Amino acid sequence: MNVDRIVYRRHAGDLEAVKDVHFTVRKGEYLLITGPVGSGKSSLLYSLNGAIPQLIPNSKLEGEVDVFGRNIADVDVAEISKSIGLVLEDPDTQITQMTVEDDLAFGPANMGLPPEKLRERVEYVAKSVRLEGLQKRNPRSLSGGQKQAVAIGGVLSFMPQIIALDEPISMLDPIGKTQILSVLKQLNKQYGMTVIVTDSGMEVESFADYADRVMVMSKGRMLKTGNPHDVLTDTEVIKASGLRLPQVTELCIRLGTSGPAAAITLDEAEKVVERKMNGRKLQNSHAELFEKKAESEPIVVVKNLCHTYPGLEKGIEALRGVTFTIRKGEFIALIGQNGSGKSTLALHLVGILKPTNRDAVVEVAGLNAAKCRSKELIRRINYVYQNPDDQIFCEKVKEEISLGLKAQGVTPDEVEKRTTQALNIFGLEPLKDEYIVHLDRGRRTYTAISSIMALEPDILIIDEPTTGLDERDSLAVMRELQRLAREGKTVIAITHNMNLAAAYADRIIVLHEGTVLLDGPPKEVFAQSDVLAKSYIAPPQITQLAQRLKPLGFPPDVLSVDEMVELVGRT
Amino acid sequence: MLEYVYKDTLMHRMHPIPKMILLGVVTLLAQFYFDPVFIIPILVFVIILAKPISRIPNTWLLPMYVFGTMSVLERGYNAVFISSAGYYRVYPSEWMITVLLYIADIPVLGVAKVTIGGLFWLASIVLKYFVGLFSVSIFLYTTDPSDLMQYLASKKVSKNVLFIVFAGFNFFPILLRYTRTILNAQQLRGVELSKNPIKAVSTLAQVFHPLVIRVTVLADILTLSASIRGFGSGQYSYLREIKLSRTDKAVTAVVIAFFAVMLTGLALLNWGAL
Repeated sequence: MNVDRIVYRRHAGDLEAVKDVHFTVRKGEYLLITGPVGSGKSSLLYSLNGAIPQLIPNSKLEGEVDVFGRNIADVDVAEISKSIGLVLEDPDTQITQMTVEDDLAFGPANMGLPPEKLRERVEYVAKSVRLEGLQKRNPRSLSGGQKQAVAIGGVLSFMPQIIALDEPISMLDPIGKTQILSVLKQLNKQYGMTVIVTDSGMEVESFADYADRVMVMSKGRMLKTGNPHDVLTDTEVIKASGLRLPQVTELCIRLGTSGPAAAITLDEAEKVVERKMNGRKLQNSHAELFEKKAESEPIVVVKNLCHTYPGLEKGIEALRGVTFTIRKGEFIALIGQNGSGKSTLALHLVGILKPTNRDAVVEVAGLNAAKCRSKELIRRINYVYQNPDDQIFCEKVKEEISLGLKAQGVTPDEVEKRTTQALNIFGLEPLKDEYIVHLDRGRRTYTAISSIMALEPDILIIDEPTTGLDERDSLAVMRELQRLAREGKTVIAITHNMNLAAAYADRIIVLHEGTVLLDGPPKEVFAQSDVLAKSYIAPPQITQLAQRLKPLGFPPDVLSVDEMVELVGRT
Repeated sequence: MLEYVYKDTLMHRMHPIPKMILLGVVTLLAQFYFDPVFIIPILVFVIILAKPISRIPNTWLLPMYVFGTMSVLERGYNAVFISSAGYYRVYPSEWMITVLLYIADIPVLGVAKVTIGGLFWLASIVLKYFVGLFSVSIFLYTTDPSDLMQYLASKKVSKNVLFIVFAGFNFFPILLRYTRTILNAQQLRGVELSKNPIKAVSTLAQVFHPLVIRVTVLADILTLSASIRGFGSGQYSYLREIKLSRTDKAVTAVVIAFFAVMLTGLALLNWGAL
């Protein structure tokens, strides 16, 4: 594939989303394109198979993309899709069929693959992307992560020579991420499949192990391309683009090993630390005994909560007797594998879903969430959707933020005051009269969160707060949530980002197949990697490194690079 | 709602074409008849097909029930103006035009009154609606769109027609999911349908605004999702081979014969007329 100085504008006259980008991809390469939100990664990817400009109305592409010697401008997208499979960022956009197996089969069926081979292919892909047992389910009724697996499987199933994936693992559980990336690597090595994948920098640790080449983009331009060591350890480029270093790379640099000699994978980091330790062992280090915070009053009490969705022969059991208590002012991270029931649980707390068993208790700020009127409940608890577009109704930012306040009958002065406060949380004030549809994902997410924060609920549930955001926006969201918790609000963040859960949450609840598997402070939970693996959760990379270094006396509950640096420094 | 759900039932196993013929015939017959005595057995038949045979849950059928019930209100308006004796060919016209309740004399439109014949007509219209709605529900709930596409592709149906089928099966389920998500999200902001009709309309406008935005891009999204999966680029293959079984053929023959008999009765013996 040869990309020759392409320039892309969404509409004629607009600023360029991609500026003068040129590169060549060789057969069998595994290329990671990384850059913050709005850096032009997705536009670049869409132009590789002709979706831009052929399927995006009014878009304009200059320059040339040649694939297997053919200019893609001259080939129909459906035709070129036989060679280049494109996985879209939003899986809902890509799902077309009513059962998972039909969706996995749709691509190869369009290409006329014989039935026996088609069945084999669907079976192989369902296993590879962990969809076994779900083949007869409606893909649109699955969890966000499972839908992402269907979208990837739906393209893998026709075994294109080139597969291009737009942020493919952002919604997957940690082990799901590794599995998908391993399958891609296996196809890459075994069949010479060329892999081109984008990431906004949040999953950099996951990709470092697999990519052959990394390209960093910023503001539509290519900043640097090269082998992963050269690029991911280049602190200047990473900083200039607004990305972050992998945790182990940051550790190495802080331990004095910088440049390409710094580690980007766990294996390499293990060796670096071993060298630094030079045969010495840590003395008297052990998992920290968690000091319990002074217990505040319970604000959420859930007992024996069950929920079965209609569908298939016996219904689909999403929750099977969930029990826990949350106290005022806690910052909870709710984690678990895709489809473990996290979002279902959250929707019960806000009264959108009702338990399907009679003896369930769902008490929120003293109210029975199963019976209480919605208007009363939402003054105490509210929910931010994973996809901001699901909860945006107005044209402009300010209108959107004030909508809920007006609906609740708040006085005009108070509406104005609280809207202004909410606009200031994420610096949206200069954008208050902007059309939301013209904002990037990060600003839309900020708008959605601010519109709920304006209602000042005592408990805020936020579903995958960092999906689709880059490092800078993610940190801004998490810091704001932490501030809320410090001010006495209760925050429940549903997330697959273990680094952020470890860094910000006071307590982690792990759901597994509709029940609570683990519940405790991050150090306690992440130290139990064997138990977590059951729920397809892997601790943060730095914790994994400490656990590998157990023979050298490292405790299994290290959660940050700072802690690790301090431990190595002790010797 | 309004989309296929996998189950192992007789109707799910049935080939899409005989199924379409069976449900089409019962719907057409119900449309031809006006006597509730004829339409009620047809409705009972489709309810049996929908509930114990296809096992469609009530939650799935909810929009159909709402739509059917709304039709009573809409058609009730027409029913109060049916008073001419000339409408009736089977039942005694004097009895059918018996006035049960006088409503009002409305300029231009005429006298609005409830007659026995008007009630029969209204009942038949509502029953027709429900027969149609149940038939559509059974088809959507029990027919995997990929089976239908496979059949059409095997008959060399054009790519454009296949796309219409593909888009049709996807459009309404996606729309319903959007609507439900939007309503839930609005509920969380305290936006609820008011009992005051003017306020209710303004609330509905807030639901429709994001819905319209999404619908306008839905066609583009479906085109994109189909194109990047190679739709229309070659001969369509299949995961499951669907063939007409002996039962399918027998059902089709019986249904067509039954349809012919009933149509003859309608034409020659006034079956189903009022």
